[in-house]
Amino acid sequence: MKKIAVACGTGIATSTVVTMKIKEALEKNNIKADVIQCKVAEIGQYEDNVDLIVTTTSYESKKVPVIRAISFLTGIGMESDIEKIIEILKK
Amino acid sequence: MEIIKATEDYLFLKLKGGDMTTVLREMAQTLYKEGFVEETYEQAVVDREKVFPTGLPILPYGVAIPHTDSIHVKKRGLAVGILKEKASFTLMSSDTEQIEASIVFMLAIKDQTEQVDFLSALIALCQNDAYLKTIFEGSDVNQIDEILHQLMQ
Repeated sequence: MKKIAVACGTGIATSTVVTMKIKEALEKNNIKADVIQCKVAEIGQYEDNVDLIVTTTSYESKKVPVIRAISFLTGIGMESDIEKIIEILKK
Repeated sequence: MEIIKATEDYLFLKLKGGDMTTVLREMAQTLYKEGFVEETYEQAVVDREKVFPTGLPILPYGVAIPHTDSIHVKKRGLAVGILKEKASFTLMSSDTEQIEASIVFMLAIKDQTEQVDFLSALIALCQNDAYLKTIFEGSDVNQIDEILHQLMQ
């Protein structure tokens, strides 16, 4: 099963909203994946075990693709971010 | 700063604005005085905004959703501040890019598992032009109360 880490600064606010919207989108597209919610400071411990990082903070990874997902909060560009996520998970 | 309305769930504030840190401090101090957060929340929210900025490019108003760790929070709540003069916030997920914000939702979040509905309702509100306009204009206190009361259910 593919894994996604969703991170924000506190691990309690924006990542909660993004996690929920990603889960909805995955379900709608019939894709099964584990979604882990965490603080951006904790990402290091997940980086080796996930296929994708989605974050609302500034973060770069040399190991896995990172998608910055403020579109999930503003609504602008959300569909295209969902498409990117699905494309990565289908690989 | 003027407190337009204070309830068990939220505060509705009008601020002079202009400077982000002043806005954050005034709103945090009011949340403290009204019993939503600990005294430590103010500095924590100022520090966190520098590391993890919360400006959202929701035009034409410009919205920011500052918040910090739940250890600084006593009970769930929300301070809504409308700024007479816009203040520069850094865009969320950016290190440098600025947005001019005129509506600030300062969140007191206690426990994320119990607050999914509140957070998703807040984001839905941020994406609702008509509601944001009503809040920004700040004059129809009854309708604003209806919007914010519903949000906090």
